[in-house]
Order: sequence, then structure tokens, then C-alpha cells
Amino acid sequence: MIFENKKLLRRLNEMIDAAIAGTFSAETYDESLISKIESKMMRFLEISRLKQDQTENERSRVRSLIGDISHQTKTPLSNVTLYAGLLSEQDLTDTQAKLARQISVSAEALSFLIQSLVKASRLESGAIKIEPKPGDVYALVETAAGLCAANAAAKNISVEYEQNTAHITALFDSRWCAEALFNIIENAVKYTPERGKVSVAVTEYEMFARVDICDTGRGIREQDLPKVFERFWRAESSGDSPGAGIGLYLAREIITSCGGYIKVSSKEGKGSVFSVFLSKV
Amino acid sequence: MSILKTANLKKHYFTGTTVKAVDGVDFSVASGEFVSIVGSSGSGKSTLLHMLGGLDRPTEGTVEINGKNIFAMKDDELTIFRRRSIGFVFQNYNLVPVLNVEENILLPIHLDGNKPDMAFVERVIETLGLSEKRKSMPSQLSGGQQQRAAIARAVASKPAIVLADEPTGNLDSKSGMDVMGLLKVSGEKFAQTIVLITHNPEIAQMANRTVRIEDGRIVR
Repeated sequence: MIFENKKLLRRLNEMIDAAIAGTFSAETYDESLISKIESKMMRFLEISRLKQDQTENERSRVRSLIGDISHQTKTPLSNVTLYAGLLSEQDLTDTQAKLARQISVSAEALSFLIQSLVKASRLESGAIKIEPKPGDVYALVETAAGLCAANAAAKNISVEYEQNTAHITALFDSRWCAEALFNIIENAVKYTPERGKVSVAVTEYEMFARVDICDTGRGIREQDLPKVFERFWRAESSGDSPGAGIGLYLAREIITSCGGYIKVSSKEGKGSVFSVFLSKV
Repeated sequence: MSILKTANLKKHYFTGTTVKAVDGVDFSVASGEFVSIVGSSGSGKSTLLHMLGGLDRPTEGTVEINGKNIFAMKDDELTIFRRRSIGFVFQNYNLVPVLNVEENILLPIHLDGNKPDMAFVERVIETLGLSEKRKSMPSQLSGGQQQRAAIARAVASKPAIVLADEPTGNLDSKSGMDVMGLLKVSGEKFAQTIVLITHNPEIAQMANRTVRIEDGRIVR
């Protein structure tokens, strides 16, 4: 009896090891307890596999739905923008012109929101493949800062970053990480008053390359710090500033997908420092 | 799904007067979550962590890990449960000085008489940047590297939960950020549930959720 139990336990242990390795197959077909357990294990693994397939199908349906929303809203939104533009060229009273401008601004905001949501959903569902490759962090900073130059210039804000002939190599997807850094720098520009300063600095650590984006804006309350990367979160003090509260969320998703992370430190009224850590391994 | 749950957890010390180190803590941690418990010195956070890890028994209340009330277990059962289900990362690394990095990482798995899942262990070693240090002795490593080895050891046995007690406490700020980054990245990469104790709010906010403790109680 003890020998039988030992044999049963040994086979069970082997079966579980094989199931973990994905190589399990039933060995015996007779009236013994081991054979019954083997058959049940096969059935269990089959059910797990089916559930995994179902999840993959669900994902695929969500991906198509997102694609449809993105595609089908493009034409009507473009029409709204076009007609609002045409309307504003007519001979309008001041109030009518203001209302027409409001339609254009809202249509652009809606278009931006849909694009951002589509990107976020594609990132979450894995439809966008983030492919981190070794690259120069200074070059990445230069690209992202360049994209913000026009908006910064419009507010007389200088975006300063170190030009360096040395290279700091880290792993990142150059296209998507440029977008992530752009979102953070753009956010810093948005919340920094006119003639303020935004600076970007790169530091090399043993395991990570650190990019600090430092602004002289209004800062973030300590109790709000854990919320800044949440989807659709905006500070109460954001007021009428443009934005949907999705840029920092997207930035975090992208950086995390590259094996890095983001943190923020801030003092209300004294500006914020967003630190992006890009993995070197 | 909640992987760790406490109910009315208390630790009172009687030394003439009653000192309420932990005083009625209710909180839970979902599977795969990275939660930080932040509080100043003497707030009760370390006592709480010791009870979460079954290192100290409470005066009252329960701690459930994977649905099991750990303090309903006998001491020897609890020791085995702890070895299999909880990975610890301490401030002072606690590596075995006579074993190299790889042997330290594999030690909890061997202690349990198991065959390590070497493909997984390799991924952990690589993620923590220890590939070139695997044969080094702890004394040959910097503080940051030793703590990274301690994190690898905690994660390699695939425990239900990793408990980290001030893991950057002995490190300079650069190595501290490296270690915190790798703890966070490891949690995400290996779907590892992590509870971190710290006094530093800047480090605490790197978790997905922060819980503040003051005078032995959780402050919302």
C-alpha cells in the first residue's frame, strides 16, 4: 500500500513537471487510479488551452473594434472640422465667430482623444509591438525635444538639453519612446508659465539610463503624485489647459513596455521633475 | 484576486503600559500588484511586514496568504509555508557569504528539495543584470549588486509574494534607484506580487498603490 502511494505520488510529480514544461501526455490507459488521473489531467490541460484560445479571439475582436472606431470616425470628424472652418470664413457676428471657433477646437480635441485612446488600447492589447533595441539616449532626447520646439517657442519657453558627443546606450523603441518623452516634455511646456524653463538631463546608472525632465511650472500636490500616470487623470488646477489626461499614461505604458519605468517628484508651486529610467540590460 | 489579506491585525506590547505597534490593520493585496507601505520610523510598518511574512505572531487578527490563515499553522508548517510562498528582501541583503551569487539564488529552491526551473532562473539573472556576476562571491559585489542578487533569490522560487523591507536603506541614491527600478521591472516582467516597506515617499510612489501607516494604523 505504501509502495503504491509512493508510486502514485512520484507519477503525479512527473505529470505536473511535464504539464509545466508543456510536454504532458497520458501514458497508461487501464482501470488504475494513475490512468484516471492522467486522463483528467489531459482534459484539464485541454480546457486551459481552449480558454487561452478564447482569450486570444476576444483580443482579436477588440483589436478589430478599435480599428473600426478609428477608421469610421475619421470622415465625420474631418467634415466637422472642414465645415466649422468654412463657417468661420463667412461674414459672422463676433458671437457666431466665437461659436464656430469653439466647434473647431472641440473637433480637434475629440480627434486627438480618439487617436490617443486608439494608441493606448493598441498598446494594452499588444497590437502595437514595442521593440526595444540599443540606441543612444542623447539622440532620443534631441528628437523628442525637437518635436516640442514650436509649442515651447509660442510660449517663450526654452527647452534646454545637453548636447553630448559621448553616447549613453540603453534599450528602447526609438519611435515610441520618442513619443513618450515628447508627451512628458510637452506636458512640462503646457504647465510652465510663459518665459519659463524646461530642462532635460541624462545620467548614466549601472543598470539604467535616467532622463530627467525638469520644469518650473505649478508643481503637483503630494497627494496627487500617485495619480499623475492614471488614465484621464487631470489635476483640479488644470482648469482650461488643453489636454485629455492621457499623455502621461501613454508615456508610462510605452516606457514600461521597454523594460523601464517613470517616477515623478514635485513641490507645489516649485515645478516638477519627471524621471524616465531606460533599461541598459 | 486577493493574494494577501489582513483582518483587524494587531500587535501590542505590554511593558507596564500597552504599546500598540500595529493597531487594527485591514488591507489586501491583489495578485500581481506592487504595493508600498510608507510610514515614518516607529509608525509600525516593520512590525506589520514581519507579521505579513509570518516572522512575528500578532496579538490579534489574521493574515491570509493564498487563502490560508498563516497563524493557524504550527511553527514547522509555517516555516515550510514561508519558504515556499514568501520571498524576502531585507535592507542588509542577507546573502550567504560562502556561496556565490548563483548558489545564493538557487538556495531556497534546493532547501525545498526542488529542481529549479533553470530557464526561469536564467531570465531572472539576466533581468537583474547578474549574468557576469553569477560566480562572484557576495564580498566581491557592490551593495547594489548584492541587493540585486537578493531580489533574484526572492523572485527565482516563484513565491506567492515578495516582501521587501527598506531594500534601498543601505545604498547610495544611484544604486538605490537601480535596485528599485529592477524590483519594479521584475514585478512586472514575472507577474510577481510585491509589498514594499519604506520611509521614503519618493520610493513609495514607484509602486502601483501606496498605503500610508501612522501610529500602527492605516491612513486613507
